[in-house]
Amino acid sequence: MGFITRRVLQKDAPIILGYWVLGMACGMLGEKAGLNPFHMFIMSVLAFAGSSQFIGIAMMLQSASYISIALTILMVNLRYALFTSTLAPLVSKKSALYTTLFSYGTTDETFAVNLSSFQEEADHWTHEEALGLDFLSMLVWAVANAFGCYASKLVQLDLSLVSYILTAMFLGIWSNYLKNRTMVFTGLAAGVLAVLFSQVVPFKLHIVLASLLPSGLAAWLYLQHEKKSQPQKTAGPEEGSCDSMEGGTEA
Amino acid sequence: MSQQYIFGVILIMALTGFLPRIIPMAILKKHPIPHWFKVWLTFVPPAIFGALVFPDIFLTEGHLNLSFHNIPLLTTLLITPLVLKTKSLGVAVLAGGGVFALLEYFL
Repeated sequence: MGFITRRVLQKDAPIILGYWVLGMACGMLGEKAGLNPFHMFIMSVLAFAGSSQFIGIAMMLQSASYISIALTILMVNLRYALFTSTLAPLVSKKSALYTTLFSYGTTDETFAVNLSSFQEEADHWTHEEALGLDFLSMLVWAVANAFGCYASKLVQLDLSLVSYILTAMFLGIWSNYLKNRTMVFTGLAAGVLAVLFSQVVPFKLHIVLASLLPSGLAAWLYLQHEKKSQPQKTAGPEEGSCDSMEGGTEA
Repeated sequence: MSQQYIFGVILIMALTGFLPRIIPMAILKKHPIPHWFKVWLTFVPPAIFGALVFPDIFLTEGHLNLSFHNIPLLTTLLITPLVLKTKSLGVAVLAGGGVFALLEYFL
């Protein structure tokens, strides 16, 4: 019945290490934007989302409006909907409080570890351990953010390096979503559009617009292709339809 | 930066972090998520991260910069094969930070 068991510590170790490094970098960027360690701690507990915190802070540095920050971060965080809808069947019998906390603790990394641990039958990964892993990761993330913010006052840090760390982080996350040709084209199209739109679209909305168009088009093409190739398919549209896409089929 | 703006953005981060996570979990208890929406969701991450990376590496202070002095672009070209091979956030951050610092020192 333990939340923090020995195997939680073992499975969480790589996440803890990564969150410590990234959290420090995020805290340092926050300090550049005029945030203090308390702000960073609160932000990290409430948002618990690395990329959106980095983006939010970078946009604060440009004095972006609330609405463009909200839309951009929402697009970035939409992938969490993908994660929690994948995890939902595994926790369907748990209470509303549990599922709320569990989805709140889901990130790219905790999702990956919890999903594989639940799927490994022999592991008997418990719901308590899954939640323990989420919240231990969150605690490390929040402390690292606050500490990075505090420490950046002591060391002179190269802001261009910290901003590049953010770009590298996006690149690392991006690489996990380039699973087939359609996804690669979608990504490259969005990239080119974002560069073009940045010259003409106001309020820093170019990122949102540039990702809406190609993702919508790719989804539309995929659905057309699916309709054509499986016209008689009626039962169980849920089954494997998204998995098969991850396998590398082509729209 | 005003306290109001800081807490406003933190509140936005909290809501935009919480809603995409909790809504599918809450809905799925009663109804299945529409198929077209799930398909679209699978294409959002490749698009959004492309849209985030490209302006970071191709633009310098808002202007297209394809010169040899564009360190973010050079670094990205150098680390991309490694990142695509490992698909690791940690590798991307360490290799990116390291190569960036070296190029900045030497160029």
